[in-house]
Amino acid sequence: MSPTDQAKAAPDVPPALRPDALRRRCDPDTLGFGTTADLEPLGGFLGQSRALEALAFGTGMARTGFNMFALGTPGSGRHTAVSAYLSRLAADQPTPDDWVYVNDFGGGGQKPNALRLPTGRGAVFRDQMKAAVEDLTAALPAVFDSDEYRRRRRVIDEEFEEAQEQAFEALRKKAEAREIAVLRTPVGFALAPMKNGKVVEPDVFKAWDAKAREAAQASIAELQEDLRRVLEQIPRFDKARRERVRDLDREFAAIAVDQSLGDVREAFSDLAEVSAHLDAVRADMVEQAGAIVAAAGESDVPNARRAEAPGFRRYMVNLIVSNGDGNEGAPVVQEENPTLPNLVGRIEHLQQMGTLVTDFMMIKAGALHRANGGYLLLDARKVLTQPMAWEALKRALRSGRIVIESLAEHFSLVSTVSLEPEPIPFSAKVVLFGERHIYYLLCALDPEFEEIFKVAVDFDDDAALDGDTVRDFARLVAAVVQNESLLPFEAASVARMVEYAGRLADDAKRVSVRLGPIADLAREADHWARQDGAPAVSAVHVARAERERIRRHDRLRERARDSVSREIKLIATDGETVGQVNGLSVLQLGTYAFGSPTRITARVRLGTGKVIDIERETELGGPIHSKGVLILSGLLAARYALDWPVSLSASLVFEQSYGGVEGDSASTAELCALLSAIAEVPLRQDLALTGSVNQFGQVQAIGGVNEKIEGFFEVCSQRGLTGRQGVLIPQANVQHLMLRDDVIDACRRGEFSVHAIGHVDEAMALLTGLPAGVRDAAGNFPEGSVNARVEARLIAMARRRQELGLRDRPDAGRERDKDS
Amino acid sequence: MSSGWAPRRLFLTVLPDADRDAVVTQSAELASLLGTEISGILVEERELFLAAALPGTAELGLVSRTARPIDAAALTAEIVRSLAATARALETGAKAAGCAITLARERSSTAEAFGGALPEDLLFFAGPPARLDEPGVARALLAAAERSAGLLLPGHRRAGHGPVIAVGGSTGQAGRMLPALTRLAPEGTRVDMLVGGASGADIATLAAQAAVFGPRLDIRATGSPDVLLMAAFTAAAAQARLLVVAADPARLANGRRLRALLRAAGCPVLLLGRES
Repeated sequence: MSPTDQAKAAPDVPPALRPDALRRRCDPDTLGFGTTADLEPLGGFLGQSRALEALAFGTGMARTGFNMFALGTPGSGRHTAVSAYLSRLAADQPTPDDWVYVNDFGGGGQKPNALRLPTGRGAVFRDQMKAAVEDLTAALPAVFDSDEYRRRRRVIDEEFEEAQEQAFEALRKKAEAREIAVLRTPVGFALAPMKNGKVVEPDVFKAWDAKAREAAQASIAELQEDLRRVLEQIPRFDKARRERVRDLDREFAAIAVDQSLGDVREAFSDLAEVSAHLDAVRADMVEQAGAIVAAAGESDVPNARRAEAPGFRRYMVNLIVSNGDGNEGAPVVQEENPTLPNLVGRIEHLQQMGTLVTDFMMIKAGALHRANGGYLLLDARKVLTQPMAWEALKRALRSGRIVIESLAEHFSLVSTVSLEPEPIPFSAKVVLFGERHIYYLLCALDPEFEEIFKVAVDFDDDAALDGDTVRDFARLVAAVVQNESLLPFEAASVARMVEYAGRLADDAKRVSVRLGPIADLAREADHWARQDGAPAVSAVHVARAERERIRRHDRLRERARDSVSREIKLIATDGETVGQVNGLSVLQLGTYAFGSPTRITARVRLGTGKVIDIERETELGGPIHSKGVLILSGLLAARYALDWPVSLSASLVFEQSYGGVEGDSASTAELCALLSAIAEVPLRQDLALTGSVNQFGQVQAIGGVNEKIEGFFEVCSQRGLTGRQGVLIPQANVQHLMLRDDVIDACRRGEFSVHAIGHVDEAMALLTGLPAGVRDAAGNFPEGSVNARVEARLIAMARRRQELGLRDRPDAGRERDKDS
Repeated sequence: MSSGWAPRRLFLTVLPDADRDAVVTQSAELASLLGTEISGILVEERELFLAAALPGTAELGLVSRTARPIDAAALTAEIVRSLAATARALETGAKAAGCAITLARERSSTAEAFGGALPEDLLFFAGPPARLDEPGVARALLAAAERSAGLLLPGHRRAGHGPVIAVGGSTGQAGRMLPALTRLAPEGTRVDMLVGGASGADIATLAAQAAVFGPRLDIRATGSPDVLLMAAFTAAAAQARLLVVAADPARLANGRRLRALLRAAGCPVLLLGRES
């Protein structure tokens, strides 16, 4: 008897579902267009009204802390959607100011100053300063080469020399008058007596009378003192000369500097901060004129790059944030690699002569700088996994300042002199993207998180299916087609994609709005259509894309099917067995999931009411699975032989399962196996079932229903469909059915069936072919029913236990169990 | 200054405190350029030794400004050592330049050493420019310059590789200098001549004379009252390799004037003798 006939025969046996209940079809004729070329592409979100409202609120809320966290599943299209939304919004918002770093002339170059300039003027300032310095490198040497400078300098030098020479000349004349020669020696001067203009020979000198010798020596002593005074004057003369030369240099340098800086000073006279900086630049240039001239003479770089030479770098302008000409609107910055330096900026170093050197020109902007005044989009997971990045982001948001920090300095990895750039005020909306569990973990673990990211933008994975949704879905496909220059999609292919989106959502009444997989399917369908030389993408191409995608991933599924067909993994698809049933499980491997039947068996014997979950005992079962087993134990104890102690010992196992088992979707199957074992009623092996059970025997919804049905179908069809085979699923899962075409076709032909069950009794009726049985007014189950057999066996076991005098102590029972 | 200007020797008067590197480089270059041999006197200044031998003579340090007795033996050793080192360097430089060199050590005065130069010699004063302050030295130098084919004064250590700058006080003087200039400028080096008090016609005549020596002579008139100074500034601006002026005692007057000229030009200065 087929299940359908059986169901007809027994009133508590649920009928097989009709084929049209197994998949929600999308009728292309109802879409109202020929191809996607007829549609206006969707510019916004699909079915994300909550997220859209949150986004509008977050962007419009001009208060501190109202940054946004976009929650959702990866591939949901959050990035694309938020970026597009913010780009449209930012285009009409004011473009933020430019920022530059300049040398701090008063602070020794260690604390570069940040200057704010109106949009577009940062680059002008930079270029004009560079031009001014280039001009100065030519103008300054020219000024010092001028005849005017040389003459005035010569006058100073000559005055100095003249004063020096006059002093020597006076000394020399005095010496000559006393017939003393002033001689130059290798280290200075010497004085010696002369006669007739020549130094006296020692013998002649010795022949002089004592008076003459003493007179000569007295003169020498006196002149020596004069000479010392002359020599002492020289450094003073020289100092005075140097000061006069310095003043002259300043005077002439100022001429060249003012001339070179004239344009830039005039252009930025309206900006007080810039003017103050230019004052400092002027003072420094005048003071450093000599060094500039020397550097200009020695530098071997061409004139065009002269300004970048080491001597001139301190006058340069490091434009770290430039927002174009001011018509760009607010920036929307997406930082894909949010390391600490990529976020807050970094200070680069150059190795020179074995030392690391840096200056303000080596300050590089981070994402916070670029997004300042606009929007910054970051991946939460990446920010959290980068050392110090999360803390730095929070600090910037809390303090409203961007402080450039170095990871190496944090950890004292380098001991070189570095910079402390002046912090820049920060004001931007930050949007973090992350999965839901990250959001909730941050809420739980970081007390500052909710203060800084007050707006949750929660993106749904799927949307309720109605007419508008289908139409918007088609426009979404049209947008993908337009953005990626795909072939137009026919209405039938869009309908097929709607069904695919339903399958992704595992729900006949909803569609997935995760843009990633939908767009991928569109791209792949386009690929197959192009291979066929088709002018448009048809439903056939979409179906092929689905098929090929599965084909690329299903190596393990094939191996699993192979192991069943070769009876390595024992799965019966025909006959009846006591205490054995086909459960269904889903294996998720990356992005691909498939279902597979699993043999579940139960054994019972006399005991103390303990149901042993072998999976749990071997630590292969997860907590939810254990919970399911405990529930069915409770059901067993509360439903049968209420006046008798439960006196059985049972064991449940997933046969040939060597990995972890989690979830309670097999608890109905486990209960059925257990009841079969107790009642000693065989169960049909051509049926598989899934569903969790509660303590009242109601069968509850599970996940992965489509994969599970298809998994058993594949095993059966491999062996040949008999018409008796089928799957029992929870009634609540009927709405999730989006089965494959081949399954539906088999059902339509009566070769396979899907039954929806609401209670375990319905499952038992289908699996045993016997009525489950309902207690009558006297509290008894009908004779011959499954439940009556279960109760009778349990009472028999309780009696036997009484006969054996076993106490109602689990320990005692366990000991006895062991002994037996 | 005849058309066949050809000094016979480069005659060096080497003092112990000469700038050795500059003297070696400039003498080797010039001797090689002119194809002359190098002859020189290493002067041990007699008066210093006399002073050192006198009882109670002290030396006053330029920087320390303290007097200490002169140690005659140490002074002699120092001077001899210094002159010997300069001699070795000169011989090495001359050998590299392919010039013959003859050096003799002589205990005399600087002025007497200048007297050793023959009229056909190019005299090279290899001593510190500060010695030009000494009236005796300056007088002897200018006298020797007038007698000899010329006098080279050491310039800045880092003399440039620019043109040869020449200055003629008059058209006639400038014309007489032309043959010497072509010898003094290495092949491919420009010669810029400034002529004082010259009319356009004079310059044209000079240019025609200069054309005989090739296209590298550029002759310009200058109205500057101080032609020498103008030439010195021109030489400094052009980083000239040599400044050539006529040995005119009336213009150069004294050693201070010579020093000022050297300082302003920043390169060696060659005084061409009137009869060269």
